[in-house]
Amino acid sequence: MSTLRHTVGRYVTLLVLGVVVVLSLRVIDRAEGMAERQERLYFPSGNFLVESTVGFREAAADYLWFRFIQYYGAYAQGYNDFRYFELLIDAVVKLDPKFVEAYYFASLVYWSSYNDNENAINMLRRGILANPDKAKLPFQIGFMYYVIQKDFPLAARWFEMAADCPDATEKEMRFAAFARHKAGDERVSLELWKELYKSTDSPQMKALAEKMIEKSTRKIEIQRLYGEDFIGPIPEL
Amino acid sequence: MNGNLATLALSTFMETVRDRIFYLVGIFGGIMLASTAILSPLTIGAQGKIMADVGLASMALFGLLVVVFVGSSMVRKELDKGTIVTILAKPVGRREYLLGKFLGLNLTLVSMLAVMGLMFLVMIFLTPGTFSFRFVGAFYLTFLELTLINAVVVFFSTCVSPVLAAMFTLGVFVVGHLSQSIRDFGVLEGGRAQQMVSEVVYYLIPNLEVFNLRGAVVHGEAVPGGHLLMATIYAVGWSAILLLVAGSIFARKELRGE
Repeated sequence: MSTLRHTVGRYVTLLVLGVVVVLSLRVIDRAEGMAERQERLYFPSGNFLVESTVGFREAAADYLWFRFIQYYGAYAQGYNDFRYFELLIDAVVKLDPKFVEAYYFASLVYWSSYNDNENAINMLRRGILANPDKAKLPFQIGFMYYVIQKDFPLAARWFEMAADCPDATEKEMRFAAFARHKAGDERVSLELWKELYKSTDSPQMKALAEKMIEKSTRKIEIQRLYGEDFIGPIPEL
Repeated sequence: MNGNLATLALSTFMETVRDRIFYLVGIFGGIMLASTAILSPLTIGAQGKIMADVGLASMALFGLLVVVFVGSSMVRKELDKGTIVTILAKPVGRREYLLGKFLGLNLTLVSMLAVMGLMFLVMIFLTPGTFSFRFVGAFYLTFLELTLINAVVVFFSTCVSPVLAAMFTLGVFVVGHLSQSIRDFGVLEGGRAQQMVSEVVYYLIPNLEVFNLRGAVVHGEAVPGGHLLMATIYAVGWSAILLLVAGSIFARKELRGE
């Protein structure tokens, strides 16, 4: 009987202690400003992290990347503001400067959530400095100039830079050729389409390049006949 | 390798097996699986990179834990149990004994890294567009780094208690990864004397960043053959120095019952 009483007593004590632990944690979690202070503790400066994550910098960058995604997700759902965004992304790319996806995603966030094109482009430029051989970043700058700012000559220059990268595909040159065409720089556009026609194995791409070569050639011929300032429907020759 | 060394190394290896060190390999497999299955929706286009980062970092971390915690108490355990006296009563020199212990722990490391490396490659193979044999270069450099740390822990275990040996070794690991920063600090701060001191400190501490090309490998760069060779020479050189000094200290140590 006494053994049973002891056993029950032990279980009750354990249960009470468990309840005390859970309740105390709930009180701490609800304390005013706790969550905010905790957020701040999670985001030390990038320079500090580079030195303190000895030997495990990339893994630390991945951890912060997850935090960043969760942070952005919470922001998108209206749970928090965006005050640690820059601090967090700065830490991620300082820990792993070759993390191309981080620059890319951060620039998208600047562009779409903040409407801050200048910082979006700056983030991509920073990525290019650390990863000059990756086509994705200059392509994205070109795309922003093309779509948002409608600055076709500048967009074409960035697309051409992307097309020169070792990991470039046909997409970069295609966009460069389109941007040159939009910018009215028909001769360069024609050369780019010709190059694309020669290099591509895709029948669809060949057909598109052929069509664009014909269009550009015609436009150049019209400009030759009617002058550079000719505007209006392209007459049949 | 002579017979005594082989026996000592094998018995140290078997001891680590009995200590269930290889459970860590199972945990590693769990982490790799988790980083693929659970974390992949959160990676936003960086799944391969994150898997590789997590895998390589886990290998280095688990290896470090094994070396530090097993290595720091390895000699002390035998001193406390008195088995060391029995071993040294046979025609086994003290330096030979230490070298045997070092090789045994390295054998454990090789086995662990080989199994973890294989698991890593299989998981990477299952992730589209990530697989490459360049990761083997990163495994090898991790092994060299842990070999050097093994020599450091053997050195400390001959002169201080296991707790201190573990702490000092972890300290060397941290400082070893910061030695380049110490040198840069000396240059940035100006003064000629300061520059010289930081330069001396730089060469007195093993530079463990030599072995840390994990980031470069994950981002698609292969480890140059020349670097592998020089890193091997560096690791073997440092390990030899540390083991020689440890051997000299251990040779003078007074052992109970001897």
